[in-house]
Amino acid sequence: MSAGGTWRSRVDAAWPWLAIVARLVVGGVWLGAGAAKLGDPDSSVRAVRAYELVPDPLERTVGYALPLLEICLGLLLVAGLALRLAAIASAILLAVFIVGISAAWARGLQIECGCFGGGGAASGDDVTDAYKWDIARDVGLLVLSGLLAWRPTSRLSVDGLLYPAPEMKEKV
Amino acid sequence: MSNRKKRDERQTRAAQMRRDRERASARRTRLVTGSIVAAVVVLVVAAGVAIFASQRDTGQRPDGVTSDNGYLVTADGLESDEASDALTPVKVVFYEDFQCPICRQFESAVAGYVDQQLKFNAITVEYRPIAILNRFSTTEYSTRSAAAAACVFDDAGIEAFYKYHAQLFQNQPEENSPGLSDSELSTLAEQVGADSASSCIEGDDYEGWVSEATDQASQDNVNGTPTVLVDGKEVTDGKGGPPHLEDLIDAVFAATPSSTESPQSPAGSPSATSESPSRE
Repeated sequence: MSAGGTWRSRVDAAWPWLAIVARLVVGGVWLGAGAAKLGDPDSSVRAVRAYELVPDPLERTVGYALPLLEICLGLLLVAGLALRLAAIASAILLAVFIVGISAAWARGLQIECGCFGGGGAASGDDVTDAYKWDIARDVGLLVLSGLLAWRPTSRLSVDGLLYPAPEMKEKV
Repeated sequence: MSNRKKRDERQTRAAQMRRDRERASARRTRLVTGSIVAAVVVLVVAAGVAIFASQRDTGQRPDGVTSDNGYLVTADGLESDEASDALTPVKVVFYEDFQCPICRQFESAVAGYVDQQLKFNAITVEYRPIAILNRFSTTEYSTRSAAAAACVFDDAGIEAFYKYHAQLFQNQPEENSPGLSDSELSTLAEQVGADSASSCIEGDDYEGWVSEATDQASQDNVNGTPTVLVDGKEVTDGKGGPPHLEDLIDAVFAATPSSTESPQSPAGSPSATSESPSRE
């Protein structure tokens, strides 16, 4: 019992530091994905279209807005600003992507995910493989986002500067 | 007794004040956090809009392209003297990207057959170049090459375009390289008879139109290149990939009106590629 307790308290103590890693990983991926699409928004629109999930009149809006949203999320996560909100939004967006890729896979569409630019048709046996890896990556990021939303206390964050952690305040 | 009561009261008051202070400070923090978040979002959106606006260049269309942004090559256009008047040509459409290696393989497999059928007037071919592979070039070669082809067409007509199209595939750059420069594209244009296309090529005159054509193709469900239509229907290798030569021949044959003679078989019957190309 005491072993479990210390293990747990160690994780508790280390979490604010581990959270930095989670923020950098998830935020970094968002920044990379957003930046890759920003340079070629038309290709982002085509990638959205290839999923055949978004109604025609909205394809362009979604294609253009997506990279901006991703960059915003990336900045918030990396900076550690409004961390819980950013982590929840990140988890929701990842869930949407997972559903989108699964739907493309289930309907037998042969497309690239367009996660980091590109997108559109793909073919060959590696399409299914690519879907699997895309989903695995997004699930991993979703788990990290969920952890950050659950415990949004992190060292070296703007939130920490603005709002010192409760246990620190109690001591003051 | 009364002392204790007083102490309790004082403690409650103190606790109340502490709670008020905490609530006020929490409100302040939320306000500050909210403002910074809003500022970040506004900045990102403003920067994004600026970037998008700088990329948006809606351009003029070259005179003589089809309503589907294609170049229609016919026996007439090639001034063929082998054309048969008895034939009703089958309409063939190729969506291609000059940066696409699978398109080059496809072209090298079918070009001989296509050229012969074109000159017999058994088919017409509408080439619809699109630019979807800019990410495999350091200089947006997909867009530049397609725009250069428009310049050649504008300057010297359909036969020059037809030759230039073949030249572009023969000179296709490696993926992730800069590819041919604008002046190299101009030199190639001169070789096919478009002597004054260089200012158009170097001025990027048709790049906006190429983006529009690419967008239109995507709206028409063309998600990859090469995409081949025969008589309006997509032709594939049966597995969703681009067709082999024999798939194209079969489709053209099936679409040929039975009242006329069947299309000629290609001279020397080029052997179809056995490797299975995948789409880019």
